[in-house]
Amino acid sequence: MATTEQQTTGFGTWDVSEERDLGGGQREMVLNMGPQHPSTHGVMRLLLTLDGETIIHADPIIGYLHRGIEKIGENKRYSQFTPWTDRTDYTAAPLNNLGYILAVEKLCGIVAPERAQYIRVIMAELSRIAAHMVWLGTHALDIGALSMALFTFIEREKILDIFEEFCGARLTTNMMEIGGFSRDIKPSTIEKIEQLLKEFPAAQQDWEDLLSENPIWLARTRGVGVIEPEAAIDYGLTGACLRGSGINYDIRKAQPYLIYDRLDFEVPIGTNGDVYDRYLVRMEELRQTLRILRQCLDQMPTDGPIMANDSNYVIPPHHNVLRTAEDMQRHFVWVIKGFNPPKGEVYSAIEHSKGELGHYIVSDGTSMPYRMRIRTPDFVNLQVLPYMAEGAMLADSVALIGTIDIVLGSVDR
Amino acid sequence: MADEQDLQPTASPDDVVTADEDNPWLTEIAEQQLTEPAHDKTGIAKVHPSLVLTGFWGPLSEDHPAHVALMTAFGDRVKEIAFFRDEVTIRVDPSIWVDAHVLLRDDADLAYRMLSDLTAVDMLKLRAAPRFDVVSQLYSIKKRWRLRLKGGIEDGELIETLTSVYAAAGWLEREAFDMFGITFEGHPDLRRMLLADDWEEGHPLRKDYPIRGYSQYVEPGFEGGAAPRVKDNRRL
Amino acid sequence: MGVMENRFEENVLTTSVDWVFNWARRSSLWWLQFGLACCAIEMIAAMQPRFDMGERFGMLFRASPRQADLMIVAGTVTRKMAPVVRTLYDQMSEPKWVISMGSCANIGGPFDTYAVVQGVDQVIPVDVYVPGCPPVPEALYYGVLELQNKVIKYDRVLRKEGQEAADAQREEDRIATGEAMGRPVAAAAR
Ligand code: SF4
Repeated sequence: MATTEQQTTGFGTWDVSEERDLGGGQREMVLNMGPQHPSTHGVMRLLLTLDGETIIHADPIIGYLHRGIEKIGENKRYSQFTPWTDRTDYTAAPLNNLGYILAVEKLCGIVAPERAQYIRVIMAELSRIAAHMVWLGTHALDIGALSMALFTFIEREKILDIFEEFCGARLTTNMMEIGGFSRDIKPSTIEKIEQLLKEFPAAQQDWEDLLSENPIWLARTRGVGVIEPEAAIDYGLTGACLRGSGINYDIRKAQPYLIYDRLDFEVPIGTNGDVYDRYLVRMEELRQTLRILRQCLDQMPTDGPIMANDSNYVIPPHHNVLRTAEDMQRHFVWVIKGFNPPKGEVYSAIEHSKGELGHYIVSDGTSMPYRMRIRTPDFVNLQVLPYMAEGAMLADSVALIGTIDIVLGSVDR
Repeated sequence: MADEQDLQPTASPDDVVTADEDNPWLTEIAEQQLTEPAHDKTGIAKVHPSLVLTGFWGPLSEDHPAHVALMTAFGDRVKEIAFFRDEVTIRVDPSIWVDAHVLLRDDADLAYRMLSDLTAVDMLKLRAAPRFDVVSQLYSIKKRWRLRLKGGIEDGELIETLTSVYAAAGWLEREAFDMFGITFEGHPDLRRMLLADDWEEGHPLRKDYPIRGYSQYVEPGFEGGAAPRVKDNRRL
Repeated sequence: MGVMENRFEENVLTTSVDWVFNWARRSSLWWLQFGLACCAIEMIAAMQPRFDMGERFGMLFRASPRQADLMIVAGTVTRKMAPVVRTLYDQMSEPKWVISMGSCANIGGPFDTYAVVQGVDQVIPVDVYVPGCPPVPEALYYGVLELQNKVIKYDRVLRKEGQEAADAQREEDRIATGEAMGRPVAAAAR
């Protein structure tokens, strides 16, 4: 590759003249990886500078999926924007919905009723499992455990079925609304979740039997991509990347939102901060998530409102819209004009499956946000890749990309 | 139906204080917040106490330790402190942008060691000058507090980079450069990030940038701008 | 058509071989593994055990464009990505087909912004459009089945040189066939 001055691929060039001479007839080599590469989880591109098989420097190039979601957010009314949050991180759409909705609710000063909060937690935790399934499948696939993706996607389909039954869509759910839900969870859906809770531990045990003590898996993950705790904080990492390095930071515990303070669960943390630890952390997270789901199903009030009672910011209930003139007008105005939240700015963060998902909304008092900033976890987490890759082997680069758990839609927005 | 009553802002100060007994300053804020709602256009929707009293951003007064620390160090170069929805925003002069962050990071008690987010806001439509606000969201793992710092700069003005303070600032600043055209002085690697290297059309998140960009697709027949008059109703 | 291409040009076998080849192509469409956005997740789901598109249609994904016949554009094509899509398409060897999966690839979908190409057909020719945001795997099935109907009709001349050349070729073949069978045929009146 390192023969001509410039390598041209039709989508950008990189300068090969920067390849330094290492002495003794050795020369650095610049290797392009992506954007169409099966293990970059989408359209990320990586420029690797190599000395033999050792990575000297890695330069992730992102933006191949930059779709301008923040700009769209500034041009849509608050009530309209939820569908785009689905498409930010498409492996865990309900979690994204939740992050955005909580930010708007904080801005408007409304709180969803208890039952709606439980349903939100249930859906969010289910989608956390679904996101981890995609992560585990693809991460293991990259490292060479080809069959993991087949196993995990079986379980994921069950969760997608639950979503489909609840809101009608499998992937881009758009299920949460400002103020709660407009449709209640059906008993049959709850049954499905119960069923999942029964079946899932056995399936997870299967995967762990396949991976956790597998010598190849250990060789490929142990001691690879170590992140020191100080560096993890310095790089602003969140989620399993931070917890794998032994720092106990989970927003569900540190700054509980919704009803997480009523739930009993633990935050798994790692010790070495390598790829294997992050794998263990996420696997344990799955178990804790099941615990959360169990408690939610037990604690959830069986009856009660699922939509906040607020005349300004919340869409009037369908039942009333058909019966009272006032609610019909309100519904009309809400749909046509949206609502005007107070002036101000809020930053609301939730624990996404990948880390801290923050929405920073600046409101100027009109029905559209003045600034809509989405702080996605994987964008910040991906930044640590050059740090991890330095001195690693070329073959490890796919393990390093996989362990950060990126989804390019959410990195590029 | 019990929780519906919960929603009414009728909680007495006593209830609220029991929510967090370790933090005595909460009492004070509890009273403050219940007497005067944090927002109100209409007087109908009052803020739910649980939203106001989370305490995730520290005390909502001038005595916020971060504000005190900054004031003692920099005096009147700390411009203002603002509260909204229990969040604390401190506006500082851009000349102390880096120093303020260093101070807050190294303060043994506060320890805002983590840069959650760094972004910018184009204030073109909200005020005359300065044009941009550079906004950083800090988080202290020790205190479990967040804090927002703001510095206002004009278009073309430089602001010092935070990369020497937080490694996380590297990409976040690059993104702000890409999207807003704000130049961070001393940034080691300031180039386009989300847009292509050879993007020539400016910086999309500025308020004067049209959402479809400048080279949008024009449907044939619409080149003149306005839609052509439809006279023949067979075309409808 | 490779080796057979020029040897059997003027032979009675041409149509049959074409058909056999097309049948083989149709039943083993190897597609380029190339996910762009959310739709890619559905595309992956379509491949996995529950929907099992790969085994049912003899499809297999290849990471290299040189080995692929089919490109499923699953997701948003941004202006930064468009040249790459074009490059990949150019690298695929003939014959090749394109399925545009999802609203984004069809017309830009919900992203009418500065960064997004409003439809992948501005960059590469598309054979089948699958609507949906994202299309469910069943919809992708239907798209693939439609494509199979198209593949079986594949005609090299038609594809490369257009309708007129194809008609002329067909006419030529007809006359040649007749001659080979010892039955000279008159040129058809057009
Ligand atoms: S069509 Fe919808 S689901 Fe598919 S890539 Fe576009 S936004 Fe995502």
